[in-house]
Amino acid sequence: MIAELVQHLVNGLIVGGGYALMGIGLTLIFGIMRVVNFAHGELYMLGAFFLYTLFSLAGLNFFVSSALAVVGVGVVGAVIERLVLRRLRDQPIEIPMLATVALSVIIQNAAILLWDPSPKTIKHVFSPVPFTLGPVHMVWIRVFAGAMAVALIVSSHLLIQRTRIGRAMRATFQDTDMARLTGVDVDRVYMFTFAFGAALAGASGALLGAVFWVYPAMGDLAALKSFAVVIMGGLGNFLGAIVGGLLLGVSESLGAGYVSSGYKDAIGFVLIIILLLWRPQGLFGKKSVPR
Amino acid sequence: MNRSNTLVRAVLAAALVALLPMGIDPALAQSKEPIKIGLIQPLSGPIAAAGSYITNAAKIAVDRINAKGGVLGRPLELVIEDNKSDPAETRNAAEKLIVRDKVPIIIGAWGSSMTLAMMPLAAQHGVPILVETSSSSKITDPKTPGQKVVSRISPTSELEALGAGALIPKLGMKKIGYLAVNTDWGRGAAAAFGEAFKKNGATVEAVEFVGQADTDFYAQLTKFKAAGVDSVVITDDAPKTAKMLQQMKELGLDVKVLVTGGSAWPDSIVQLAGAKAAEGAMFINFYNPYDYAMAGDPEASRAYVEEWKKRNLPWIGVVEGMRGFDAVNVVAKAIESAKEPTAPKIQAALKTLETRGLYGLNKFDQNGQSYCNIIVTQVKDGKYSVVAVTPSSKLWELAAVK
Repeated sequence: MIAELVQHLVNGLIVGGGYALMGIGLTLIFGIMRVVNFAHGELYMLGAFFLYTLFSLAGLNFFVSSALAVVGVGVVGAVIERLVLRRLRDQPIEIPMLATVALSVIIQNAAILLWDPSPKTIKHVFSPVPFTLGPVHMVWIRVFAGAMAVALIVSSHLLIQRTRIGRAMRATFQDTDMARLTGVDVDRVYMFTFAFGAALAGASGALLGAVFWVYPAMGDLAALKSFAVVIMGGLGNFLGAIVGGLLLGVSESLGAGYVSSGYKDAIGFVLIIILLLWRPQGLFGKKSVPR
Repeated sequence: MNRSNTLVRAVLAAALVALLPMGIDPALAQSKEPIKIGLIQPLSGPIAAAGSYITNAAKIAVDRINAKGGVLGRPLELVIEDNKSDPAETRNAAEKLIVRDKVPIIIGAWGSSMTLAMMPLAAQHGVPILVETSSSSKITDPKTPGQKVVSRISPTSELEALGAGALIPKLGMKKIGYLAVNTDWGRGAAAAFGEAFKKNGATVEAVEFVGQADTDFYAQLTKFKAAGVDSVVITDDAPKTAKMLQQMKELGLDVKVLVTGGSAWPDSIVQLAGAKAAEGAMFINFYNPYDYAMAGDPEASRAYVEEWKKRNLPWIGVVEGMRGFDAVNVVAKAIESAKEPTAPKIQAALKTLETRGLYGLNKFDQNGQSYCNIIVTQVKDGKYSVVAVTPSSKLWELAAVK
C-alpha cells in the first residue's frame, strides 16, 4: 500500500520536473515579453530531435549531444525572436501569439519532412536494468532526468537573481520603459529571454525524449501541460511554474493510480479549475493591475 | 464576297472535323483522365507513423495497378489527406475530398473515432467508405449514422477475440490487467476481450485507459502490480505498446502479455522496445509478411513485400501498411465490376464483391463487414514466430454460428 503510494509520488515528481522546466521557459517569455508562445511544444520537440540527431545519428557523446541540443534550441529561439517576434513587438498581443501558432505548425511539419513521423528511441548510455530502492523501482535515465531538471531549475534561479543579464531581465519584467530609460538594452533582454526560455523547453524535450521517445507531434501534449502549469502557478511567476509543474505531475500520477487513468489528463485540468476558482491569479500570481 | 464566305465556312468545318477526335468529344477526353480515390490517414500527430506506412503501401498498390494498365483503361490517382490524428480534422478532410475533389470513394481513416466522425457526412453525399484499419464494432452497427456507406476489410475487436478464442484457455492468463488507448478502438477492444477472457474463467482485475499521445504508463502499471495481475492485455499502436513493455520491465512487472489490434507485431516491438522487453509477448495480427501462402492472394503478398523492401521503407511498418495495399486493391476491383467510377455504382459493386487479398477473403456481410485471417504471433528468442492461425474462411463459419 505504502509502496504503491511512494512509487506513484516518485513517478509524479520526475515527470513534474519536466513540466516545471517547460513551465519556467513559458512563464519567463510571457512575464518579460508579453508573448504567449504557442510554439513552446515545438521547441521541446526540437530539443529531443537535436539530441537524437547528434547522439543516435552522428554518434557524438551522449552528454555532449545533450548540451549541444539545448544550446541549439536556444539559438533557434534567438533566431525566432530576431526575425519574427521583434518585428511584431509593438502590435497588440494577439499578433505575436498568432505568429507563434504559425511557427508551431511550420516547425512541426518541417520535422515530419526532415525526420519522418515514426517515433525514434534514443538508446541512451544508462542501463535499462531497473534498480530498487526499498519499495520503489526506478531506472537510471529517469533519475538522471529528474536530477538534471533540478540542476537546471536551480541554475535558472541563480541566473535570474545573481547575474547582470538576470538583473536586466527583472528590471524589464517590472517596467519595460523604466528599464530602457535607465540604460537596459531591452532588445538584448528580449532576445536572451526568448532564447533562454526556448533552451529550457529544449532541455525538457531532450531529457524526456531520452526517457520516452522522440516524434514530431510530441510537443502538442507537452505544450498543453506547460500552459496548465503556468496558469496554475500564476502567469509570469518563476516559483509558481516550479510548484505548478510538480503539482501537476504528482496529481496526474496519483489520479491515474487511485481514481481512473482514463481521466488522467482531465484530473490535472479539474485541479486547475478548482485552483482558479479559489485564486483566479494562480498560486503565486499577483492580482492583476491594469498596465 | 459570297465565294470567300463559303471558303471560310469550309475551312471552319474542316477544322472542326479535324479537331473532333482530338479531344472535343467528352467521352473520349474523360477516358484518359485518372480515376481519383480519396485516402484519409493520420500523417501528423501522435499516430503519424502508422498513417505513413498505410499511405506508402497504398501508393505501391496504385503503381502496381497502373503498371498493368489501370482500371477501365484509366490510371488510378490517390488524393491523400492528413487527418492529423483527429476526428474533427477527418470530417474536414472528407468534406474536401467529396466537395472539391469529387472522389467517388474514400479509404480511411485509421482510428475508429476518426472513421466514425466522417461517416454521416459521406452517407449524406452517398460516397462509399472503405475502412482499412478501424476496429470498433460501432462502425458496422446498423444503428450508427452513416453505416450504410461503409465496407470494412479490417476485423472488429469482437472478431479478433472470436478468432483468437480457441487459444485463450491455453494461454494460462488468469488475473488480467487491461491497458487500452482511450478511443473508440481501445474501449471497444477492452469490452470485447474482457468478455472473451471472462468466459474462459479469467478475471479482469483492472481496465486502464491511456491518452493517444501519452508516453508514461508508470501510474497504470504500478496499479497493476499492486493488484497482483499475472497477465497484461494491451490494445494500442506499436510505438506505445513497445513503451508499455519497456516500462513493465522497468517496474519489475514480469507477466504474460497479449497485444490486440494487429498494429503491433513481433519485429516492430523487438526493434522499438529491444529484444529483452519484447521476449514472450504475443500479438494478434492479420498478416504474415514471412509466409506469402498465408495471405488470401500469395502472389500479391509477395509483390507487396518485395516492393516494400525495394522502396527502402521501414520494415517494422510492413504489417501495418498491408491495410492500405489491400484497400486500394479492393477499391480497384469494385470500380472494375461497377464498370464506371461513380459513387453509387461503386457502392453497389462492393455489396457483392468477392476478392482475395492480403487480409484473406475480402467480401462483405449485410453490414459491410469482412472476415480476415487472424494470426497469433509471438516473440520467441527475439524472433518472429506463429502460434496459431484462424483463416479467413474459418472466421466466416465461426461468425455464422455465433
